[in-house]
Amino acid sequence: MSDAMALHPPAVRRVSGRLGDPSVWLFGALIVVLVLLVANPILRLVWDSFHTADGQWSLQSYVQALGRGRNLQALLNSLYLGVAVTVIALALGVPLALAVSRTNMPGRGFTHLSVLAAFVMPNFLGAIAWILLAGPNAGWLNRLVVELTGLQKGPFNIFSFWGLAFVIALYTYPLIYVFTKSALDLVSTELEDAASIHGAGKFQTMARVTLPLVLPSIIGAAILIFLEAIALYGTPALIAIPARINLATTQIVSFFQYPLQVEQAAAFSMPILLLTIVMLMLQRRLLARRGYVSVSGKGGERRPFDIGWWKWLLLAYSGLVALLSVVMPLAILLLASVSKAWGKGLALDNLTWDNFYGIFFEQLTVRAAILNTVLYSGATALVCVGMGICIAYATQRRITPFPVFVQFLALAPVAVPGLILAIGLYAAYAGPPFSLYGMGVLIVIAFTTRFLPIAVAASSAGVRALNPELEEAVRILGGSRITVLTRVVAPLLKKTLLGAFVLVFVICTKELSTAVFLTGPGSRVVSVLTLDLSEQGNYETLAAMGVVLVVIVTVVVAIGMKLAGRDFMLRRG
Amino acid sequence: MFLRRREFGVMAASALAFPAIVRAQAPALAALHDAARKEGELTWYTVPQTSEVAEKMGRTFTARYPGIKVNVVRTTAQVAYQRLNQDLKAGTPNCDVFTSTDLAHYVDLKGRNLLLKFLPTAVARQDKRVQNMDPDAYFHASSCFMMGLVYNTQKVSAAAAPKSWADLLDPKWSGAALVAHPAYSGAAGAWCIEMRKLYGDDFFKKLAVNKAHVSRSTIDAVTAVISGESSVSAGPMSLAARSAAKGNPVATLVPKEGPVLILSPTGILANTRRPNASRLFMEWMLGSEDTERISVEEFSVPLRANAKPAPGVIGLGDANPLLAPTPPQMVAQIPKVIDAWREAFGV
Amino acid sequence: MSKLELKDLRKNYGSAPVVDGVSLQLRRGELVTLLGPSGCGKTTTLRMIAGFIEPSAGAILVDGREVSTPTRSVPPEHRGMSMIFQSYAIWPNMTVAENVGFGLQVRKTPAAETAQRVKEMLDVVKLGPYAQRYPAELSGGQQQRVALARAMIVRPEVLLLDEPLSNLDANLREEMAAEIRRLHDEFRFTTVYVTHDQTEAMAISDRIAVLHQGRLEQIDTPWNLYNRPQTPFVAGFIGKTNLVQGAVQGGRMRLDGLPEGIPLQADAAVGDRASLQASIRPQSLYLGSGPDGAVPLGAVSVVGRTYLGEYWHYLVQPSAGGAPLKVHAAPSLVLEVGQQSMMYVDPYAVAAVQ
Repeated sequence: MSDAMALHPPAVRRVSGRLGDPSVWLFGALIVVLVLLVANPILRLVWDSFHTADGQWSLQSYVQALGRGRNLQALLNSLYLGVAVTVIALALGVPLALAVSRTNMPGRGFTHLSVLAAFVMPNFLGAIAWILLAGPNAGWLNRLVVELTGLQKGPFNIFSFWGLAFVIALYTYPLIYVFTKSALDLVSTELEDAASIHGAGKFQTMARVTLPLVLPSIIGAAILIFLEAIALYGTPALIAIPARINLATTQIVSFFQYPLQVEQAAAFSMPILLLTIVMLMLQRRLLARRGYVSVSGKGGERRPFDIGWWKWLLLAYSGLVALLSVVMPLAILLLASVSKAWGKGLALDNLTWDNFYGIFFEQLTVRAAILNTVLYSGATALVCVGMGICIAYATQRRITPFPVFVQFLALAPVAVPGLILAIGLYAAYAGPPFSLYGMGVLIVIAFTTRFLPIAVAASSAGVRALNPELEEAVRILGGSRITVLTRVVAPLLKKTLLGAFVLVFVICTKELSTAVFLTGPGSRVVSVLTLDLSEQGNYETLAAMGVVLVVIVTVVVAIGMKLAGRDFMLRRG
Repeated sequence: MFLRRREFGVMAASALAFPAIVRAQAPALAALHDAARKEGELTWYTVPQTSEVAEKMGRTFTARYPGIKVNVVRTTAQVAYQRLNQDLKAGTPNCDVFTSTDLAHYVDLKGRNLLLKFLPTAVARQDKRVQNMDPDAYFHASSCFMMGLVYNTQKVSAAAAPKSWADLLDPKWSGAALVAHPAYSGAAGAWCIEMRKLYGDDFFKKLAVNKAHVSRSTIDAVTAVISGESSVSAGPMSLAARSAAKGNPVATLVPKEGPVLILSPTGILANTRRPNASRLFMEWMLGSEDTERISVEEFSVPLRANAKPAPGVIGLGDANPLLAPTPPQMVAQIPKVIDAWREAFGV
Repeated sequence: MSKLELKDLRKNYGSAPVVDGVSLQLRRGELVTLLGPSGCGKTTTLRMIAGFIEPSAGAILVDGREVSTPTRSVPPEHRGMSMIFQSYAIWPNMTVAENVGFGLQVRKTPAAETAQRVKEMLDVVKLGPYAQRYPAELSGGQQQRVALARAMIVRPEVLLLDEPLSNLDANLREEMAAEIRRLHDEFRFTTVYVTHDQTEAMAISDRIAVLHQGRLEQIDTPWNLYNRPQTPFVAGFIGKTNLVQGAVQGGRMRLDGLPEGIPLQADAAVGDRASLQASIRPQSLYLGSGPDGAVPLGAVSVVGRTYLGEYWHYLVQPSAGGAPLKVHAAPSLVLEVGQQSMMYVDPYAVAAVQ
C-alpha cells in the first residue's frame, strides 16, 4: 500500500479565495432576495405615508388618516377586540393544554386532534358557519331555542362585539394551546410531586406550581394572539360591518375604495405597525428568560398527574370546545352545502348536489379559485422551505456577512400585519416597473414574505440541533457548503422541512388579509372569493366551496402526519 | 309564465321582425366576430347580476359566438371600481368590459379618457328614457332594475307589509329591516341619494336608531329576507320576483313614493387588449335576443323600446312616480351619502 | 522540508490567548500528538490546522505553502486533509459504504474505482460485511472504524484526529489505540493526534507535543518526555512524579532532610546552584533496600500508605524533616504507618526540570 502511495501521491487541490466559492454567491443572492421581499415593501410603506400622491413630502396623510374621530375610534375598537379575543383564547387554550400535557384526563388524543382541526379551519369559514348558526333571526341555534322554548327570539346574536371576539378566538386559540403545551411538556413531574408531598391539593398544585413555570410562554402566545386579532380582516368584514363596529382593518380597506388613498392607508397603518413591533420585542424578552422553566433539554420524568374527578369536568370542557369550534361549524357547512336554500332548514326537499356541481362545472370562478389556492399555497410552501433552510443554515453557521441582520430581515415580516404588508407589497410591486398586479406570482411573493419566518424559525431550530461536526466532516473531505446543505443537512432535517411545508401550506389556504388587495381576476383565491360570494348572501355555494377546501387541506395534513409524525405541526421549535 | 294574447302577438311580431333587423346587421357582426375570434377571450367586470346569472350570460355569449371565452368577475360596485382603479394604476389592462351600477364611476372614467367611444346599433332601439345615458357614446345603459320593498311572506302578511320607504323607520321593524351600504353597493348609493332627497340626512340616523341590519350588497337584501334573517328590506324587485317564482317565501311591492330606478351602464375600457371582442360583447349585451330572453327570465326591466317585461314586473312606462337620480346627482352626491351613512351607522 | 509546519501560531478570543505562540514541524509520515489538559489549546490548534478557525497571528504551512495566515486562509474543503471527529460524525442518512466513499465522490472519482477502493478500505478496517448497514446499527467501536476508513481512503495530506477515543469504553480504548497505530504504520499519513490522555499518547505517538495554557512545553519522543521532562508541568503531567527542590554542589543534589546527595547523571548535570527543581518518579525510589546501582539517601518514616493491588503507594517523610515523597513499592513490601525505613534512589531516574 505504501508503495502505491508513493506512486500516486494525493492530489493537491488548487487554492481559491472566498470569491471563487459558489456558495458565497448563492447565499449572497439570497440576501438580495430577502431585501427585495421584506425591506423594500416596508420601506416603501413608510415612505408613502410621508408623501402625498404627487410625491411631495408631507404629513398630510397622517392628519387625514388619524385626524378624524371615526378613524381613531376604529383603532380603539381594534384594541378592545384584541384584548377580548386574547382573554377568550386563553380561557380555551390553557386548560386544554394543561389537561393534555399533564393530567390523566381521558381522551387526550381526541382533544389534541380537535385542536388540530380548529387550527386547520380558516377563520373566515368559521365566521360563515357561525353566521349560519347564530344569525339573530335565521340562525339554526336560535331557531332551535325558539322552537324548544317558545321564546320570541333566540338569544344568540353573532353580529355583536362579543360574537365577533368569540368567533376569532375559536380559531386562534390553537396557538395558545401549542405554546402552553410545549412549555408544559418540559416541566418535570418531580416539581408537582414535591408540592403534593407538602400537602398541596391538586388544584393548588396546578395553579401555584405548574402554571407559573410556564407563564412566560403563555404571555408570549397571548401577545401573538392579540396582534393577530387586530390584524384580521376576513371575519371583521363578515361580522363587524353588519354589527356596525368599525375596526382598523375595515377602515384601512375603506381607504382603498375609490378614490384610492394609498398614502392615507399607509399613514393609518403606522400606529399598528409600531404597536406590533413593541409587543413583539416584549414577547421576545419574555421568552428569552428560559431559565424559568427547568430545562435540561430532557425535562425529567413526566407522569400524568391524577386530578381525580376534575378530569371529567375537563373532558366535558374539551368536548364543548370541540363542539363549538369544529363539530357544529363543519356540520352546518356540510348541511348548507347540500341545501337549495339554507334558510329553509333541514328538509328532504331542500337537499341537492347542485351546489357542488355548480362549483366544479358551472361557476368557473370557483373552480379556478380552488385550483389557484392549492397552486399558490403549494408554491409558497415550497419556496419558503427552500429559502428557509438556506437562510437558516447561512445564519446559524455564519456563512454570510452580518448573520444577525440577515436573520432579523428573515423574521421581520412577523411584525407586520398581513393587510399592511399587502399595502406595502402593492405599493412596491403592483405598478411599474415590476407590474405584477393581478398575477399569481405576486400572491406567491406576498405569501412567501409573510410566512418565510415560519420556515426560517423551524429550520433554524433544526439546524441548531444538528451536530456541527457532521457538517465539518463534509467540508474537510472536500465538500463545499452547498454539498453540506444538500447531502447532509437537508436529508437529516427531512421531517422538520416536511412539517414546515405542510404548516405553511395550511396557513396559506387560510390567508385572506394579505391577498385581498393583490388578487386580480385571474388570480383569485378561495379566501377572497368567500368574501365576494358572501356579499351576495350565496351561502350555499360558499359552503360547498368551504367543504372542498377543508377536505383538500385535511388530506394534505393527514399525509404530513403520516410522513412526519403526529406532532409535527403543533410542535414549537 | 302565461302570456296574454296581446303580449304574444307583440312578441311574435317582434320575433318576426327581429331576423330582418339581425340580417341587416349580420355582415357587420360577422366581420366583428371574425376579428374577435382572433382575440379569443375577454374579461368582464360586472355588478348588477348574481355571479350565477353573470356566468350564464358569459356561457350564452360563447355559445352564440364560438371561440370567444368570457372571464366573469362579479363583485359589488365599489369593489369592482376599486379593483379597476388598481388595474389602471398598475398599468395592467385586465378589464375589457365594465358593467356597474354607479353612474358616477363612468363620468369619472370618461373624464380621465379611460373609456372607448363606441355606439352599438342596439342603442337606437332602446327606450327613450334610457337611451342617452352618455350623449358622447362612451357608455350606455345595459340593464336596469327597480329598487322596491322586499318582504318575507312567511313572517309578514301582505296587509302588514310596509307600504312606503318611510315605513322602514317604523319601530315595528326594529332589528328586522335590512339595507345595503352605499360604500359597497352602487344601487344602494342611488337609493340613498333618493332617500336623502325625500327625507334628508335624518333618514339615515333614524334607520340606524331603528337597528337596521347592514349588508354589503343589494343582492344580499333579497337572500337575507328569504332566509328569514331579515323580515323586510330595500332590494331589487327583479331578483325578488325571480326568487319568488322559484318558490322562495318572498314578495316585492312598489312603495308609495315610487321605486328607485337603478340603471346599469356598460363601457369598454380604452386600454383594452381585445377591442373587437369587447365591441361584439357590448352589441350582444345591449340588443341580442339572448339577453332579452335572459332579462325576462330574470324578471328584469327590459330596455328596448316597447318591450314587455314578465308579468307582474313594472316596466319603464308603468312606474309613476319613478325616482331616478340624474348622472350629475350621482357624481356629486354619492360621497356625501356615504359620509352621512358612516356618521349614522358608524361603519 | 517538513510536511506540516506551525510558525508561532496564535489565537485570541477577546483579549485571552487560547493558543499562545506554538511552533512545531512535522516530518512526512510522522504521528505527532498534541497532549494537554482541557483548555490548553490543543483542539483549537487542530481546528486551525484543519481550517475551521483562522489564526490571530502566525502561519500554518503544508509542504512549504502557506495555508493559514491572519489575512488569508484556505477553506477546509481545499486543504486536502482529513479529520476524525470526537463524535465520529458518521452521517446517519448514508450507509457505511456511502460514508466511506463520500470523499472519493466529491473528488469525482469514477464509480467503479470508488466501489473498489471502498471495498478494500472496509476490509482493512475489518468492516467488510457491514458495507450496507446504517450507522445506527453499529457499535461505537465500529463507527470509529468507519470514521477512520472514511478519512484515510482519500489519502490526505495531513490526517487529523480529535480525541477519537474519548467516547469509547475503557477496555475498547486500548484496542482501538493499537488499531490506529497499526493503520498508521500501514499507510504512513502525516498525522496530528489530539488527546488529554497521556497513556494513549505514549502508546501511539512518534513524538508528543505537550501543551499548557496555549504554549508548547516540550515536544519529544515518549521516552524522553517520561524520563527527561524539561519543565515541571511536563514532569507532573506525564505519569506521576515527585517534584523536589534542592541545592547542587559538586555534581550532587542534596534534598532537604536527607543527608546524602544524589549524584546527577551526565544528561541531567548542571553546575553548582542554590536551588534546582528535579523530578523523581515514585517507582525510582526504594524503601528498605534497592536494586544494583541505587544510591541510599537517608532514613524516612511512613506517614501514609494505600494498597493498590499492583503496588503499594507509600507517602514518606525524611526523618530529619522536609517535604513528603511518594514511593511505589512492590506488593510484598509491607510497612506500617510510622515505621522507619532507609530510602534509595536510582540516580539515572532523576531529571532536572530547573
